[in-house]
Amino acid sequence: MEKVILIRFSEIFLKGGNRKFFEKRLIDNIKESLKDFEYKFSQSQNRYVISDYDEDSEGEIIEKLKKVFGIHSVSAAAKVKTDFETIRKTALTFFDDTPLSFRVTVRRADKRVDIPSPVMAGEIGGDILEAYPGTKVNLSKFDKELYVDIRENGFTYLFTDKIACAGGMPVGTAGKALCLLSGGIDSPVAAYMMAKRGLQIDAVHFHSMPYTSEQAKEKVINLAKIVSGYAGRIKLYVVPFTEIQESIHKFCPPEYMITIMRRFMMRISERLALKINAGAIVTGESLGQVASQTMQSMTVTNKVVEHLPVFRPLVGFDKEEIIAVSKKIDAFDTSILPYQDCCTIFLPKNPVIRPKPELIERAEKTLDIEKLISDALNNVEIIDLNP
Amino acid sequence: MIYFDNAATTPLDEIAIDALRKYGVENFYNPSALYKEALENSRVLNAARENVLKILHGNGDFVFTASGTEADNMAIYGAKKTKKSRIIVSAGEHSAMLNPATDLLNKGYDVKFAPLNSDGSLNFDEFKKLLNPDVSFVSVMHVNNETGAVNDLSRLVKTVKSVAPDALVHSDGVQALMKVRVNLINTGVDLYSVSAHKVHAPRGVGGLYIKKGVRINPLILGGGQEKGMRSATENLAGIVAFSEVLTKYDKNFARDAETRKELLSCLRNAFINEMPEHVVLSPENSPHILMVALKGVRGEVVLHALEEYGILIGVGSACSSKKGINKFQSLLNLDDEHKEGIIRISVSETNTLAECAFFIEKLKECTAKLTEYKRI
Repeated sequence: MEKVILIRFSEIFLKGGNRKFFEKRLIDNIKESLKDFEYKFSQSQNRYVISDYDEDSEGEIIEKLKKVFGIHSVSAAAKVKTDFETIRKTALTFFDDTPLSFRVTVRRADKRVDIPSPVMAGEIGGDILEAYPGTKVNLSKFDKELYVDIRENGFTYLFTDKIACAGGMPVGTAGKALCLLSGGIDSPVAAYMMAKRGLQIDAVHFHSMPYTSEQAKEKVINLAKIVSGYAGRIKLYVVPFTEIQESIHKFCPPEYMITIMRRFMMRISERLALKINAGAIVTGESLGQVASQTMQSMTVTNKVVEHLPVFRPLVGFDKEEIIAVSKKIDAFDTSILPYQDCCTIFLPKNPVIRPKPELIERAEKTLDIEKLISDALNNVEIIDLNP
Repeated sequence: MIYFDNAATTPLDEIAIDALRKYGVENFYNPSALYKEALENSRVLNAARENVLKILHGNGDFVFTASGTEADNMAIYGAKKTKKSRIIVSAGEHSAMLNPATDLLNKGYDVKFAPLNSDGSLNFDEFKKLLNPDVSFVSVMHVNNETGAVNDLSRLVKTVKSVAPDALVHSDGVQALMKVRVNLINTGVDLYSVSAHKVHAPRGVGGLYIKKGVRINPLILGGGQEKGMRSATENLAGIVAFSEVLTKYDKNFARDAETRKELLSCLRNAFINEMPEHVVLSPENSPHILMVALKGVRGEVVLHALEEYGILIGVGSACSSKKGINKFQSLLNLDDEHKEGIIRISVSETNTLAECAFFIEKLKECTAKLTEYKRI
């Protein structure tokens, strides 16, 4: 008997003519996520098999695979030669004295085996009942289901658990996007959700030393690292933002501070995105959450983006729903560390809630927008993050 | 680099490094083992204990712990007390005492937090009102870790014992050790916490003084080291380093104290004479800390701005700054213009007047610029 891990992928993306492209990317992503392990990778019908790994690493390998988008579920299985006696003996290893109800499900792709599936299931179930008198069979309500999967390649896989994985599409199959990462709860969730739809993610963070601290930057780095557990390698672009904020503060009406600041962020993000061949900008905005996330505010900030779409995957989410995902991906505890980010530091008492584009544009006229942007872009720090 | 955050931690003295090597690499043996090398190390350990007691002028025992925080926890959790009895801790205590006290409060104990004066020292009049014969445990720090205010421990002990003779009086001496003269016999305190890394000795070493005749319960159970008061293999290298550093700095105490006083009064005068808009919170008797509430700027922003010039200061206890708030904001009744501007400058004998002058110059520059960009 050999221990293997079976990987099933979400099949929805295989329907087009691009199956090869999707599969190659998925396999690459799986191999990237398992780069610290030794194992053998093989493909059989509609699934992948990880074999020849150190059994002690099984749990760790499964944890890694759970984070690879495009994988539907995995199972730790026993692989044996398709021989009925061997299968019966192996089936017993999945049970012990624990009293429980079970069922046996046999799937027989290899029609050379001439015993009908229900007959085999009955025989195997009988063996288990005999060996462990505390167990009983229940086909509809059971504690444990033993799958016996007889493949056409002469081998049979036995397993009891199908471990649900991240689903979604393989990262990279949808292209690349640049996500604004603030350090709060929302933006890592937004990045995660777009990676789930197959986007490779790079991130941009606006840093305002001395108004924000090194710890605030460290926090964003840690959040990007958490997201990279799912999204794979992330390049984090840290943009110095102090001078821009100081200029806005000096020359523009305080109630426009946030709106104008957001417009600068969007301008810089688009230029950066185009430079790194990203096809979209991702933000963690949620409609109405704060003054800068009203429909009118989004209109005004969106107006400076000329060439790319802005994806806002959280726009219709409640805070509770966002927090639930944040906790699921283990970002929440990091997100709530209380370091000031550049948005809160200059927060005026009464920010405008429904900004009018023409008033904002007039206020911005006092600034040398081009110079401020190119100065910031010339001093970007790039941090490479791997899961 | 100009280091003005000596209340947070201090660099190791060379003699500490020598001791770490000697008892970490050469004579590394477990003092509780049975061969003669081990026995020799247990003698070294007890000699260090005697030395610390001598320097603290204590009459009783000294239990080595892994930190000042652990010593504080051991004091408040280990002191025998019933749920009916009262526990009083000052509102200005370090989190190592405030959080355990809050924990006991949540568990149903009668815990009172004694108010402070505006300089961070204990408000004795208010404190006295909280005393009653049922008081079982009192904790007031010797030198406040935020403002440097020195509390009069003798007066504290006398006041407490006159009302509640059986109460145990603890003091957190972490910021007092080698900063003010410590004489535990004279003060009469029952329990006293210290930490090594604030005085050029290694992190991971602290201790609790227990006056002769005082019985408390251990916090950590196990192999029975430290006469059962604190189980765990003894950190002999760290302990010896601590003891030897204490000997050295005790010898130079008068000279070093004078240096710190000179540095602090230079800084204080600069604030009073050249930057009167800011409020100096620390009292005159602070031995090494100057806490100032700056007007119209946020303390943390000033900290980062000064960082650019290689000047390192604090915004209050580094142990609570992770939470982003300084408890003194609310305790010291600061107005809106000053309450976010708290900074903590803490000097050591290695700092110089030239460093103070450079700091003052850069602080003026930073605050002028930052005031311009303050929140609207």
